[in-house]
Amino acid sequence: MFEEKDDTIMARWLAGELTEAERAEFEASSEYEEYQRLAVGLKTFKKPEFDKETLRTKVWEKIENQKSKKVIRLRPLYYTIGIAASILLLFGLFFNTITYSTDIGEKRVVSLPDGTEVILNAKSTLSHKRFFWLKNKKVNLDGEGLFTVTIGEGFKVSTQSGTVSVLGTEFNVRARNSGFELYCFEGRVLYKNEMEQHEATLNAGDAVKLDGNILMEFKHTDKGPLWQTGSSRFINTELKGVMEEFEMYYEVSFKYSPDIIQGHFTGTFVHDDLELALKSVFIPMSIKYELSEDQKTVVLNAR
Amino acid sequence: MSRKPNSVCDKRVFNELFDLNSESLRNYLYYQCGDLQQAEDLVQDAFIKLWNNCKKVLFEKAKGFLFAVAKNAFYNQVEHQKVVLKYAQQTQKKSNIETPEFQMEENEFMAQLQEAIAQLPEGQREVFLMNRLDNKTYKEIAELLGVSQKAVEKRMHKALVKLRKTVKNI
Repeated sequence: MFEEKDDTIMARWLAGELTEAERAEFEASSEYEEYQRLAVGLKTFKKPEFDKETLRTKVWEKIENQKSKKVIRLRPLYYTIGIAASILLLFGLFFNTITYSTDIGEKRVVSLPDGTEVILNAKSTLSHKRFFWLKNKKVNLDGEGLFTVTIGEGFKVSTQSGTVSVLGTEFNVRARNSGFELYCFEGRVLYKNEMEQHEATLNAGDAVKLDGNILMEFKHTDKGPLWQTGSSRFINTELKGVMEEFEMYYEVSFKYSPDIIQGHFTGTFVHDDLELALKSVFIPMSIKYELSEDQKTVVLNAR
Repeated sequence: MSRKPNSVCDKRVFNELFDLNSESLRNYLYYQCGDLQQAEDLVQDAFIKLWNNCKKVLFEKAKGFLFAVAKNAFYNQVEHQKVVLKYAQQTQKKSNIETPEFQMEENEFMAQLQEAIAQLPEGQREVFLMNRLDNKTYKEIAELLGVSQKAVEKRMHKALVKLRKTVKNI
């Protein structure tokens, strides 16, 4: 058969590359007609439709999209995790702190690694570094605490209103939102506030108080802070500040119209008897108070 | 004369390559897998890969790169479907002369031919259809597929012989 002459002859026929002799031979062969019919039939087949521009748009869209993705992938996830872990470890070593805090009406005695004893008053937080603390004995205080420092050298109490440096001693620091007070009972301390440029050295019997931005120095005759005896004392203090203090010892909230708490209060209230404490503050101020049944809310009215 | 070489990274050049090659690449893939959507997805992937490697691929080599990438991707993922080609109905002029019987016979023949094409082995079908439908010469096909011209001609020959036998037997 003609198609068996060699293994590309049909391909050459379809491409019109046969020699004259070959073509004559093929056209005379038995299978010629069938092949001719195939070739004609093949011509009616059509290429599948092609929408070039739609495809082009898709390609460019995908190219644009992967650009932004690439930026994110530059550093693999495990790099990021590794870096984060290292930073955490560093923080752990150098910035890890120990924190002691007290809640409303709570007091707590804290012993620091160098033997210093701190009695924390209600609603206060004391913190210091966990490692290498003895090299730089600095503690942070938010609230009020009585410090009895055994070895004074280098001991510092840092508060939002300045730093108290200890020269060997016993003193009370009060650093609350309502104000800063420092009482020295024994030895000497140095108070420094670099922001406001205040500096004061206190000996036993000295005290300082920040009133707004003004530092007031005065004398006291106390043996220890009054809160140690279970009561709070005020000398000509704004009633609002007294009530803030009140909320540190008792879980109550006050309801009042602003105009009735204008006065200043001088006196004390105890920390362990709500009824008595309310009486001792509001009766002298001529304010009527009502305690709710669950003992949580106090409504104030002008008398 | 020295001409500044075309960089594939140039958007204009890249679009030109798309104009020249996208259709024949799509058809080549379609002749293998029989799924237009899949063929077009593979074409997209191939062009994206070309863009991402545009600094490494010379303009002259881009066509071969596209076909090679598409072919490899194809072997990795593709499920095969039957290749179904559309064919034109017999022309009106002819149908006036010929009898209805002849017409019916012709339609039957075309259906048989289509079936026979679908039954061809992939290697023969892709070559055969690239030559018949995309009008590519044996030499061009050989370049695109990275094989010798002789190999392409052998496949064409085998495809034709096989088509005749299959159509005869149906």
